[in-house]
Order: sequence, then structure tokens, then C-alpha cells
Amino acid sequence: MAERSGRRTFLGAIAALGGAAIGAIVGLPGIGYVLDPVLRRGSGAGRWFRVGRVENVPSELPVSVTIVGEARDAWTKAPRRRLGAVWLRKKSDGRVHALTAECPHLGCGIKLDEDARRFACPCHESAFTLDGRALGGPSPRGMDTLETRIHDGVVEVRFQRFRTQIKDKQPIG
Amino acid sequence: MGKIADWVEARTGVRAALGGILDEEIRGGARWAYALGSCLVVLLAVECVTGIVLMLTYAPSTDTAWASVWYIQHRVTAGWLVRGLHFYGAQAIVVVLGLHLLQVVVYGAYKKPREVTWWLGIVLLLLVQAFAITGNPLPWDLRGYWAIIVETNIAGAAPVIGQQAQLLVVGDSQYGQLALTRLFAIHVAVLPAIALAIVALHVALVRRHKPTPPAGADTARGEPYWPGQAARDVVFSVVVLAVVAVLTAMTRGADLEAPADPEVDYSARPEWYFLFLYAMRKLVPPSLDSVATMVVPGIAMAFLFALPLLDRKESTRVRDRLPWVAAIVLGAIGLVALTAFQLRADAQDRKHQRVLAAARVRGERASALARRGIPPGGGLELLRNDPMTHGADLYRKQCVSCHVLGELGEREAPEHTGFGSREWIYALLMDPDGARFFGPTDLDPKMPSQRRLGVLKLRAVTEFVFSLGREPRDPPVDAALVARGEEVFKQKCMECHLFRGDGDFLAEGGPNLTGWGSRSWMARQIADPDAAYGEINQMPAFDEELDAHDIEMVSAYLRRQRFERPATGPVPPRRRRARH
Repeated sequence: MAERSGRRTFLGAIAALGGAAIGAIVGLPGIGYVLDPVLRRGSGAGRWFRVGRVENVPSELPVSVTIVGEARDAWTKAPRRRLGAVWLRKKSDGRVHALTAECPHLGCGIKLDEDARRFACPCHESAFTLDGRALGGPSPRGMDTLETRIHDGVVEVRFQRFRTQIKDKQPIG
Repeated sequence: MGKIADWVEARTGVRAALGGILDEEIRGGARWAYALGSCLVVLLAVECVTGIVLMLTYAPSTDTAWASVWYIQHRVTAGWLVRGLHFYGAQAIVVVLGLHLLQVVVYGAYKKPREVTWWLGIVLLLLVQAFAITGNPLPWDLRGYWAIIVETNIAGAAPVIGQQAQLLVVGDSQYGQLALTRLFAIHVAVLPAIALAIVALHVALVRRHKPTPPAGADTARGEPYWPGQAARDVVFSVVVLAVVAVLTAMTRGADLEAPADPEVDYSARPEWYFLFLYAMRKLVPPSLDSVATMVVPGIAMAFLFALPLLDRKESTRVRDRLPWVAAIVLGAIGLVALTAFQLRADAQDRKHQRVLAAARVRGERASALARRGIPPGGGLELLRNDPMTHGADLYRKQCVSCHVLGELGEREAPEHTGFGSREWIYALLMDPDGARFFGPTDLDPKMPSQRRLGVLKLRAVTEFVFSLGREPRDPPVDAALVARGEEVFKQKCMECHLFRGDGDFLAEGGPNLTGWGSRSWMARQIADPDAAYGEINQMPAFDEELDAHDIEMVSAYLRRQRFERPATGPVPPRRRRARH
């Protein structure tokens, strides 16, 4: 009887181990595959894009410029795609100030309210000053500034994306 | 823990149900033979899991299918592994299903009261084939593309409903977007839903009637499913899956051939598990093709369906039902023999192997190009923009009837092997009327040999003419030599040749050499050869056959020859050069 029960335990263990092996053969690669987007994070450093001539940037109300460039989207590499929008304004010291149009709340496109002379997000009513400071609404921080530089009279913007919903400005992608 | 389990048990009864399965008695005791069916359930589950995972990345359209599979294969974490498990797992199903069917036949397990179990099994056999037929074209590579065309055309030839059935699967008269989205939907939704229902019924009936022990087994003896049979089921499944995993690792996953292209030469063969049907076609005259593709498989399936009705004796002893068992075993042997015969024939078929090798090279090229990003038009656009692929294709189609390049072509016009290289130019200057250059043409007036210029001047002219086709990213030319060559060129060559709006002082009408050997010169030469050669031209224009992009591709392809050093042909003597 003891021998039979020992055999049963042994076979049971084999079946359990085998079941685990089946799970591992399929499960481990499967989990790696599913987690791929999390495992393979980019640096978030962004790329520089030429957006227009410096003399065309107004110092009164900001102007929206489209970021156009090579799109790298999974397997696709496409030239000249619209990648996003940026608000530009020349500050009093003559430097070009760039704000991403992506709302830090939930990523909607921020619009300019010309009458009120402020930025407003149409989705959840976050409002920002023309410098991008938060004025009210659910946005956890002000609009995200982007680095700019001038090259041969042409404004270049380092286009990056940032995590939404948090107080700090944290690059993603 | 126990409390939670009791709570769940009180509300779901899952433990009792599971215990019911585990304690189920196996008459005659546990057997390895019974593991075949359980292994099939495991393999189907593996296909289901890996298939769902692959769907996270795969994009079914003719522009994205190949590209997304390439991305799975080369970019996604463990992508090649998951795809390999799905691919070889499917083939394992075919093998284990075949063995399961033979085991059931030998044990006589199709007999009363298990007829319906058997019939459901046959339906599953058909479903597995449908899975294979709809799954293989999804990467939209050459192999899958030609396979689905051939397979659906075979189905289309079926009497009465054939054509409609073909349209229902393909969705269109062409094999494009609708075909791919339909095949995808059928493969990932329609077939799995049907298969799930039928597997569930099949398994429920197996549990209802219990496995059939072989004749002569001691049926008085019995043991519960757990752990004896469970261990056998699991161990056998692990072994099969291990084979699948090893095959995947050894081949680094399933192959991905070059993107589907109706213009590419391809020697289509079905997957190995359908190869016997292909081989059978050769046993009948071509006019009776449908006997091999329809009638014989139809009769075989009808026979399998009818088996429980034909063999109605109660005995499950093999010798009591020898004709039936023999028919199926012989059929299986024939199937294996036909497969082996065809595999051998294909291995020895040099033309087939040559086409496969060319397809392999094309696939490797596509994959290498894809590393730099795939254009929105997908794999096909990738290759259409590659001079070494598309340019070479067009060259083989349009140019080899007059020009020789490497091992290809007819000698009716100047050879293109090494075209535009220093060696080619030098050899032409030495012997313009030779067999390698204008000898085969009726060029009038003929260009005389320039041998009398002497080696130094010839080398200088060669370097100058070579420099005419230079592009910014090319290796540098010898500037001093070019300058000396230009002097000689102006004195000697421009007596007959036009160059930058000047020349042809003797009014011989020699070809215009402005930009000779550059891509734009070649493009013009292809589209409008009269432009450079004027009245003496004998080459046809190709501006109707080739569009601007095609011409650009052929020109870029041909321009590569200026950097090739041909294995044969006279090579100019080396000049000693001071290092600087």
C-alpha cells in the first residue's frame, strides 16, 4: 500500500512538473513578448526638427507650428509625416520659447484662446498662461517647454513627449 | 486559504468538477497511447496562446503583413520564439493528429457507441487543414502567397459550389487586401470558434464513453486518471513541445521569405503535410488533375467518415477487421511514401532548387534592407526601391537579350560585366570592335583601336572617362591623371565624340560622352538611346516598357558594375604609383 502511494506521489509530481514545463515553454516567451513595450523603452531624448525662420516667430501671441519629419513607427519609416504640434513665441529677450501642445493632464491638444490671451485645453478645461504656467483646471503641471536653438536663421525644436498625470516633467518614448 | 477555497467551491463547484475528472476511471489502466489525444489538446492550447500573442503585433494588409511579421521576427522580445512555437506547434498537430487517428483505428475506438466521437475527430482533421491553409499565407511572403493562390484555385474547381466557395474565402477575384483580411479573420476567429466547440464536444464524448482499451486488455482492472494517465499525458506533451522548441531554436523560428510579389519567379510547393497531394498529381495524366486534387482525397475522407458504418462487427481485434485496418494503414504508408518521394524529387530538381535559392537571396536582401526601416508601402516597396533587387529583375527581363552581364545574356551588344569600370574602358579603347564591345553590332562607322596612344595616355584617358560618371560618395579618382587624360581626350577623342556641347570635329557622329557612365547618362541611354548615339544608334528605346522609377533602378543597378572587377577579360598593366 505504501509502495502504491509512493508511486502515486511520484507520478503526481511528474505530472505537476511536466505541467509547469509546458507552461514555461509557452509562457516565458509569451510573457516576454507581451511585456516587450515595457522592456524596450526608448531614451525619450527626442529629435531636433526645423520648424521655421526665426523672423516669422511672433512676440505677441504664440503661433502653432507642425512638427514634420521622418516618422519611425514600429516597422514603418516614413519621410515627411506630421508628428505633432508646438506653440512658439519670441520672448522679450529675443529668445524663442517653445511649448508642446500636448496637455500634461491627459494628452489632449492645447489650443490658444486669443480673446482671453491664454492657453486652454478643450478636453478638461485646464488653462495656462501664454508662458505655459498652469492657471487652473486638472493639469498637474504647466505646459511642457521644449528646447530650441537657432541654426542659420532657422528655429529648431527638440520634440519630446512627456508623461502625463504627474507633477514632474518626465520624458517618455 | 482553506476558507477561500471553500467559499469558491460553494459558489462554483470547481473542485468537485476537477476531482471528477481526476478520479475518472480508466478501464484497463493508463496507457501511453491515450496520451496522443491529450497532447493534441495541449498543442491546440499552445497555438491559441501563441496566436493571440502574435496578434498583438501582426497587421493584416498587403502593405503591413510582411513588415509586421519581419518586426515580430527581428525586433519584438522573443518574437521569433513565439512565432516559431506557433509554426512548428502547428506542424506537430499534423503529426500527432495522424498518429492519434492511426491509434484509434488500430484500437477500433471508432466503433459503437463512439461513432460521433470519431466523426467529430474527422471534422477536426479537416479544421486543422483549414487552419494550415488560412495561416500559411498570413506573412504574405512568396511561399504563403503562391500557396493560397494554388490552394484556393484547387477548391475553386470543385463542382457546383467551388467558385462561390473560393470567392467567399478570398473575397475578391484578386489576391490582395480582402483576401488577407478574410484569411486572417477566418484563421483567428471563425476557425478557432468552431474548433473550440468541436474539441469540447469531442472531449465530452471521450469522457462519456471512456477511452477504448485495445483488444485483449484486462478490462476488469482499472485506475483513476490521476496520476497515472495524467503523468503519461503530460510527459508525452512535454516531449512533443520540447521537439517543437528545439526545432524553433535550431532554425531561429519560422522562415520569412521575400515579400509576396506576383512578378517574381517562384517554384510553389505546398507545405510538407500537403506534399503527398502534389506528388499524387504526377501519377495521373494532367487532364485528370482533379482526380488527384479532388476525387482521391474526397473518397479518402468519405471512407474515413463511413468507417464506423462499414465496420460494424463488435470485435475490436485487428484480425477480425483486417480489410478496414489494412486500407487505412496502407493509405498512411502510401501518404508517407508519396511525401518522401516528392521531397527527394524536389531535392534533386536543380531548377526548383535554383529558384528556391534565388528566393532565399531575395528574402535575405529584403530582411537586411528592413533593418533600416520599412517604407509605408511595405516589403514590396522596400524591394521596388532597391536597385540590387528591382534593377536586377528588370535587367534580366529587358536587357539580357542583347547584353551580357556575368553569366547571363546574349552577346548582341557591348558586354555589361564591369561596365564603366577602368578595366572596361581600357579594354574598349584597346579593342572597340572586339567581341566584348561593338563587334557583335553593325555600328557604322566603327571606332578604331586606340592602341597607338600608348599605355600612359590610354591610362590617362581611361581615368578621365571613368571620372565622368563619378558621384559625390564614390571613392576618389586620380585628379592628376584625370587632368592629363582630359588633354588627350580633347585632342583625340573629340575628333569623333561630342562632349559638353563641343566635339565631333570630323563629323563622324560618335556618341555624346557628356556624363558618360553616370546614372543620368544611363537613364537617358535606356529611355532614349538616340540622344547620345544619334543616327548610328541601334539600341531600342525602353521608355514604353519602363517608367522613370524603373529606369532609375536599372541605371543604379548597372552603375554598380563600375566598381566590379570582372574575373575575365584583359586587365590594364599596373602603373607604379607614388604614395602620398
